[in-house]
Amino acid sequence: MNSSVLEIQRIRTPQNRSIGTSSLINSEQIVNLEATSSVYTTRNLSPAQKDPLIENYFRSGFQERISSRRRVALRLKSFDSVFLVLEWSQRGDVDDAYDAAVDLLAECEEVLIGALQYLYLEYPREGRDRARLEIKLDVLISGLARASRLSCESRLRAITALMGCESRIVKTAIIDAIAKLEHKRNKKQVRGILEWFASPNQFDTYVREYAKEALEDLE
Amino acid sequence: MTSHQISISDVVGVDRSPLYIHKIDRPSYWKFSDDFERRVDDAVSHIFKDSEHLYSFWRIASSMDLYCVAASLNAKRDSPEEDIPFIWLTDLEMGEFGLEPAPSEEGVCLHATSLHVDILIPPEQARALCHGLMLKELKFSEERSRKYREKKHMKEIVALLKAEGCKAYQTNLEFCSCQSIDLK
Repeated sequence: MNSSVLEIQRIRTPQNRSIGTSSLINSEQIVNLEATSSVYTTRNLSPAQKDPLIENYFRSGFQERISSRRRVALRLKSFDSVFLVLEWSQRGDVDDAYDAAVDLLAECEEVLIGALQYLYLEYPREGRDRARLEIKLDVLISGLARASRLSCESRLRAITALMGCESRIVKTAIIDAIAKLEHKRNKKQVRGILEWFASPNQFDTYVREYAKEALEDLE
Repeated sequence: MTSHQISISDVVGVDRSPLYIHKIDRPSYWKFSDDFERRVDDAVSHIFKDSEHLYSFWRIASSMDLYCVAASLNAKRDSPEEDIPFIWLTDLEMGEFGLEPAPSEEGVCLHATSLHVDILIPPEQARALCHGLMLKELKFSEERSRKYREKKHMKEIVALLKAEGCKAYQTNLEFCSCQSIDLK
């Protein structure tokens, strides 16, 4: 059995992971990672991992970032490379690191969906790594929402699969992403999701108010 | 020039101009938690993390400033209409928290460049600033984290400044129309 199959098996056995907290979500919304496993290499994160192309992108000025973005994105074929971009998004020594990461991820394709699913399954309920992972999920959700090379439906499905997450950071990222994905054919679905976040089902008043504001902005 | 539909209070929630805004990555980074001390700590670590402790602020005293700063901030993005989350404080509060703005031209809109300042904020001072602003937020019910909203604000800002000839949208222009526009 190769490492790719091993990883997929691990991903498909989430432990105590509840994402079905609403009728809006069902098990079919879990991304089928097998479909992408043959295309994308698997996770083999190494703390010392480096990629000069990604580093150059983040170290360059904004005009250069804009002109190189698509070329760099075409090289992001593995979960590793996506996770590396998420690491860079948090750097305090890089100007506009968060925005640069989101706009870079927005140029990527299916690898984003697999990486998002994997990262969510890694999400710990407690511990000091939790906040760092929440921020990474936030960046990845924001990038995926803008990834126009993927269908709106697949992005919406992948993002709503995280609705059961308890994190305020992740929930507000989902709300912004869902609002951004609104178009004339999914207005009712988008409104329904935002109304769920704005309802008393949400114990976090900040999230409720955030969703109400997003609802106001719907056209 | 047409009259402006978007005012400082529309975007900031109140008009206590002149005021300074500092762009942040996400509105929720200002409110990670309902626990006050944790909230302060998280805001410091996720908003004030520059390795040299030097932060960009923009001084806003008019609608024109409000529009041009937004244009400059989003000139780096793929979409000029993206939301722009920020925190704000007044001119007087700058002194109150011991912050010393140093003019430093930045931005592509040539009106906005004159509104930009750099402020050195070491970690302890950043903590005092976040703590103080969050206390004021509780006391006066003023949200210190706000955002230019894509559909409500940015679409109009971009449409107007593009039509007028702002350098943020046409970098090959020699001049920026925003330098000569007198907005009400």
